[in-house]
Amino acid sequence: MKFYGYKRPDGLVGIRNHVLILPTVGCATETCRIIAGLVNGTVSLINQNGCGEVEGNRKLTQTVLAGLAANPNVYGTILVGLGCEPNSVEVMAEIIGKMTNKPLKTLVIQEEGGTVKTICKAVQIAQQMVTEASSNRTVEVNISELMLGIECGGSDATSGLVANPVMGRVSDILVESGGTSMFSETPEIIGAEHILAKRCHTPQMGQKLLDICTELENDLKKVNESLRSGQPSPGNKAGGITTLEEKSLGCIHKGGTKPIMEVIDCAQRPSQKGLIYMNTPGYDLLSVTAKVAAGCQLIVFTTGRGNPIGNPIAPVIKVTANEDLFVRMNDNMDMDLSPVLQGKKSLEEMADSVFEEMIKVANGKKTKTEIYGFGFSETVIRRMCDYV
Amino acid sequence: MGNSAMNAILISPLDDVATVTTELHPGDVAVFLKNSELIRVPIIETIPRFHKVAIRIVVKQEAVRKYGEIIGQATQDISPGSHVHDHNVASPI
Repeated sequence: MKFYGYKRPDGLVGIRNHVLILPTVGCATETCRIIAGLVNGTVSLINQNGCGEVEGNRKLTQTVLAGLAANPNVYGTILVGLGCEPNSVEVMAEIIGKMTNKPLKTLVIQEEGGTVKTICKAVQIAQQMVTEASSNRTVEVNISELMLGIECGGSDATSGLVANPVMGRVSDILVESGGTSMFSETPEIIGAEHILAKRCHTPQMGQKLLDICTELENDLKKVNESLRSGQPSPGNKAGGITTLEEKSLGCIHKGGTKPIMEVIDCAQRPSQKGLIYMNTPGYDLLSVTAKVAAGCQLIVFTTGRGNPIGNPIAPVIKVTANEDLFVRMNDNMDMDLSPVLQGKKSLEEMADSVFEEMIKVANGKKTKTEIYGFGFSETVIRRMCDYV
Repeated sequence: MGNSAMNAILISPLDDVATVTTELHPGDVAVFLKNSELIRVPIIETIPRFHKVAIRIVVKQEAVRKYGEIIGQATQDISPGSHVHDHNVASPI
């Protein structure tokens, strides 16, 4: 299986060809928004961090920002900083430079003499970069170059029954074809973590997965919260879910049945191909951001109650097996999986259809979120503690 | 492979339960695919929509599988065609 993509100088293959206008600090975000608004072919995003954060949080910020710049859907990046922030353009440029050799330019608002001068200069640089980017032609590459991120949000009974099992099969097909499939959302695996741990490629990795769950539960205990008590909820039980194991399996089944080749930290780039588990919260904006920062060129998002979110860098394909939702929120939905529920298609046939749609989107077909230009305000970066 | 007569979904061929996509009553037959083959299980009690139906005999204390994994343990003997829920299955301890 093949798709057409943009070969980057670092060897990765993108399915989009964006120039990224990237604020290193919250103070540069508005400036970046205006620059991106003036130059077609560029994208930007809200970064509220980069200053007033402890070192652990700064590292989380840097991992995500560098990962987004290094995502192969990005042709090149213009970093815009303020000038006095700890996460300076120099620091960010160095981190990005360790990950990729793609085009990178920097601008500092305090050095340029304010927002307007920065914007004027950035627009010229961005225009040149877009000219270069748009001269790139796509080439045919093997499906093994694709890294898919699978997300679920706004779930209902159809998610665990159809949409996630369909995506599990899609994930298995991609892994069998040599590609990479990534799933995450640690709160949702609680209750089935022992099952996932057994599927890890090595016992050490399985232990890491169990440790991640223990760590999350211990963190929640500190604030008197628990993910297990009262689960499955009365609403879940009325909907037919009997045990917490069953509920969690409904979530994790979107990752398919293949061995987990690597358990990675939030937004970290995997070093292996195949099925990857990333430790993230269940918050969709955050976990989609983290997957794109890890290098996913494409996201498939399963939902039952509906969700509009996109991403500035990666197309997000929205799939649902809730027929009523597909009609009611059609503006936000890309694929209707309900024929499985109606007994008109098997899970396998539907998985083949989703896979075909993924190839089309990889080859340039736009998703609803891309057509509406969603994504600018939908990047969220994980925090360890409050700002300082 | 699709068949409009299907009214249940078997997620994995290893599973002991199928999930019905419409409420079924005694006298109805649950119809679903297993390894591309159409399977029929007569229903012996009401199964609400999206609830599970046993597709084989499950003996008390046996593991119950869905998604190809153990979702719980039978707390009593379960006959094919009967409703599987928290009255006859609990988390494995």
